Amino acid sequence: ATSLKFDSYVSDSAGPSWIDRWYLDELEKRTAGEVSIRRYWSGSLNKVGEHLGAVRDGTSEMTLIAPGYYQSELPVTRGLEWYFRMNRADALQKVCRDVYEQFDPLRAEWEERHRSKVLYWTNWNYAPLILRTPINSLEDIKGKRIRAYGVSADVVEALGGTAVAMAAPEVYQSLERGILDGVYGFDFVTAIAYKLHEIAPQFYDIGDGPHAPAATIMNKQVYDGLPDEVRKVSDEIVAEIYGGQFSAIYEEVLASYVKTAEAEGVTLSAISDEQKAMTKALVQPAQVNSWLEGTAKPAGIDGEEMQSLIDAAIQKYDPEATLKRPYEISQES
Amino acid sequence: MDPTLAPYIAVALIYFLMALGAPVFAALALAGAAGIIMVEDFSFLMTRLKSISYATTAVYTLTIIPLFILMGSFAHHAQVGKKLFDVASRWVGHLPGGLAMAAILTSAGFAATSGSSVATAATVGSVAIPEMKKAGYEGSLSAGAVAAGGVLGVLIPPSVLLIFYAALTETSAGKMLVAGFLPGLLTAIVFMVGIYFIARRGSMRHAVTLRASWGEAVRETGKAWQVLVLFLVVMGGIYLGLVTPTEAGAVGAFVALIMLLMHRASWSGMMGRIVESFQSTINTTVMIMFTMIGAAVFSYFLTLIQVPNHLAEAVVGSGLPPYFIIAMLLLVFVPLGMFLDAFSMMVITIPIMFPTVQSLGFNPIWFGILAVKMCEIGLITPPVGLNCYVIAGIDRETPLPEIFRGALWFVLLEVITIMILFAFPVITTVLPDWMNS
Amino acid sequence: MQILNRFLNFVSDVLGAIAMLFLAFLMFGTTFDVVVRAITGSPITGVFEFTELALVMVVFLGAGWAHRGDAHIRVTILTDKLSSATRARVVALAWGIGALGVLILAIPATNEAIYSVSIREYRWGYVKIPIWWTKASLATGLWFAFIQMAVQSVQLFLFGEPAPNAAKTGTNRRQDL
Ligand code: NA
Ligand code: NA
Repeated sequence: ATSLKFDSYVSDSAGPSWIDRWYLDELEKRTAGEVSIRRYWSGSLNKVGEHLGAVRDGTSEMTLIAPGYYQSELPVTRGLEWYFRMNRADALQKVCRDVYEQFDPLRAEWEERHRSKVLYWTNWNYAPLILRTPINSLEDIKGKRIRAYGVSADVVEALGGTAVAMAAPEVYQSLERGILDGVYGFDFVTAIAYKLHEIAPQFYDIGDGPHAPAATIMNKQVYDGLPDEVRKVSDEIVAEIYGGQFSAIYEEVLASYVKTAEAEGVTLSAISDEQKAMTKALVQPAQVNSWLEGTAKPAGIDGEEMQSLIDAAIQKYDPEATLKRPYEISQES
Repeated sequence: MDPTLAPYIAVALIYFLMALGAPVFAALALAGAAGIIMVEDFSFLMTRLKSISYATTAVYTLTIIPLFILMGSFAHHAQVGKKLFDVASRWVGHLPGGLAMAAILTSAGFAATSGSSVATAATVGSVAIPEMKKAGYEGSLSAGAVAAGGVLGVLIPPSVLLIFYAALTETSAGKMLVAGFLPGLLTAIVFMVGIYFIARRGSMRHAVTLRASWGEAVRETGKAWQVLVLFLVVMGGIYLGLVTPTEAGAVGAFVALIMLLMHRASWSGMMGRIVESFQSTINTTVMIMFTMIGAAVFSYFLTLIQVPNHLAEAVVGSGLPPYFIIAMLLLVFVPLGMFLDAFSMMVITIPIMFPTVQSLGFNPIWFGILAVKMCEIGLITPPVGLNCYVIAGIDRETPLPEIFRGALWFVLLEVITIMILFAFPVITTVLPDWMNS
Repeated sequence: MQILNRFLNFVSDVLGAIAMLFLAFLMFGTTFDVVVRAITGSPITGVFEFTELALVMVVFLGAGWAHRGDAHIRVTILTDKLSSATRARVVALAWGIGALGVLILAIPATNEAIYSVSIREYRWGYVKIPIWWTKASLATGLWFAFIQMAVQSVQLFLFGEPAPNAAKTGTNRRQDL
């Protein structure tokens, strides 16, 4: 029998946790007692920022990694982070998978440098712009103080807002007291779970596409040491995740959170296509270029090649992808 | 090595090392390390400990600790805290244990500005303990009162812990915050009534201040204008949306420094006072953070072998009657609270307990407040009781076991408060329900 | 002996003075940030990110002062009952345990610091703030605390307890508390 520890920095109701729990449950079920997994949520075992090291060094076997927390350790992976480049979260998942297979430095970053196998790529579905008061156009963002960090801060600044870095536990009370006018970069599910909408009920779809990718990983030595049977089962489950399970799980989760959100007074709206195009022009290609110049070049990564692989994968998957954004879901019902 | 024995050996080791007089942080770290080695091995331990010191201290919301201690220290030198305490003692000082009651009142007032129990205990402790000493109060009771008063910090909003519970359970954060208010007041009242009865016997019986007339009490309140200024800066800043609680600590410390600089009587030797404030703040902060690192090692060990999970699961699966289940769930926090901090306990147990609470149809806000109160008891119970450590750091004359002994009275009073809140959910739910309509 | 103690005191003063600067930054920097934000509407870039690093510096560079100021909480109720000679031995053991407790943190923290410096680690946030130097300082502070406690342990073991006041030189003890 194999006993594994899965150790996540987020709670079991956060977006990606719904996918992770399905994988863990299926792995236990389909190996019929051969594999058992202890689950630790909300950073109860290791703290935020420690999870990559824990799996690399083998004190935990599996974890969820959001690359934003490991900026200097995952320079290649950060080339997968952007806004305003594609539309669908289920396509982003496949884009990440393809680039991982095609671009050696990305795979080497995980498998050699961090001695971890990416079991599957996942992501935080969608992150609306969340504001206390309604806006008429994006012009109104100017001067607003919006909690953001990393690539989401680039977007806020591009729109003329002020990006404010703030610890997550202080966000709610800061919105309440008016220190913040809004939040950007919190995915929809987490924002509703944290009840940010009690103070900031205006959710805007600004055409930014899916929110940051993440990876569910396993210590490579542990993975290689699993019985062949178990690895085969894991591969099957992963294939199902890419083959539609990711969308199926998220569709259900998003539908239920949209329902909660609407019942609790959230207004879901979208800006006009014209404004979306304007915003996109402000953010891209500047954001990708800043990764090319600021991160890829100093690290000796052929960033151009990676980005062209990404473009090709987006062409391939984005048009046929189906996972709807919260705004679209609310329009249907 | 039988892994089921490991937690018992590790706990015994804590007591043994502490009894030898080893620093508390080292006793915790070494006992936790021994536990980890028993269930894993030495190289696992060394790998795990690589980042623990950094990850435990590089936490933005913890910067509130040195800032509020620094504010307390400046205010102490400028005699601001003394005035606040004077005001409170003018109102209740003539009663048996009146100064201890004044400390509780001061804690309640301070709790409305601070989201942290430890910061509340540290600030009020540095003000109230010297005064109680002067009046001849028994060390254990006065230290216990201040350590216990600190728990008001997370009940009376603002409170990071209440927000945290709301996020874990997806209940309304606004309602959780409001819900803490009346239970916080009730706790303060129960503490004061308790002090009245406890103090009728001991050295706290003496009336240290004469009974002040209402007029005099009001006039005296007016004299403490600096307190009002600090209160407005810190609390007003938070409520007007100018600052976060952490920032309020910094601004409060800055304003207290200005007050010290303007305090004529302190002009000679001013530089010494300022440096001393910085030094004592650094010393107390180091002590608290080292203890937190030691506790983090121990808590990692308990979490690794899933002690909290097993306890919570056992109760959830016990098939007892509903109210009995809730009581048992709350009791789970007692043994856990001896070793774990409130955040760790919540993170691990609430996701296991909460579905049961919900399926039995209990009000999640009511349960949340009860759980927070149970977690807070852990701050004043041995062997790991952060509030008591903080007070021991401030009051070097009263030994730690004495402080824990004094705090035990307040554990009892906490139990009474929790039973009242348990029996009358309306105390907790009336404000959040009222918010709805 | 004297020279060693004087040297340790000197080092703790240097590290402590740096810790003090970082504590002053926590107060002044954050206050300034709040004031600027209130006036201009935008915060000062980097203050937030720098804040938690300042806390790390306060804690680990201040550790020397904390030891000298006898700030670490210990339970002395049992050891106080012993005769002076026996007590010196037991307290020597207690500080030996303290040193060991710091050592098991210092060794892995050093490995972490070496790794962090090698990748020039920086922190997530709005701006890139390097953090490798805080991890290096953290390890340094832990090693210094280990040396202090180990030296105290050995001195107590060899020479017994110093005269009551001699042990408490140096940093604050709030006499008026
Ligand atoms: Na509070
Ligand atoms: Na405790």
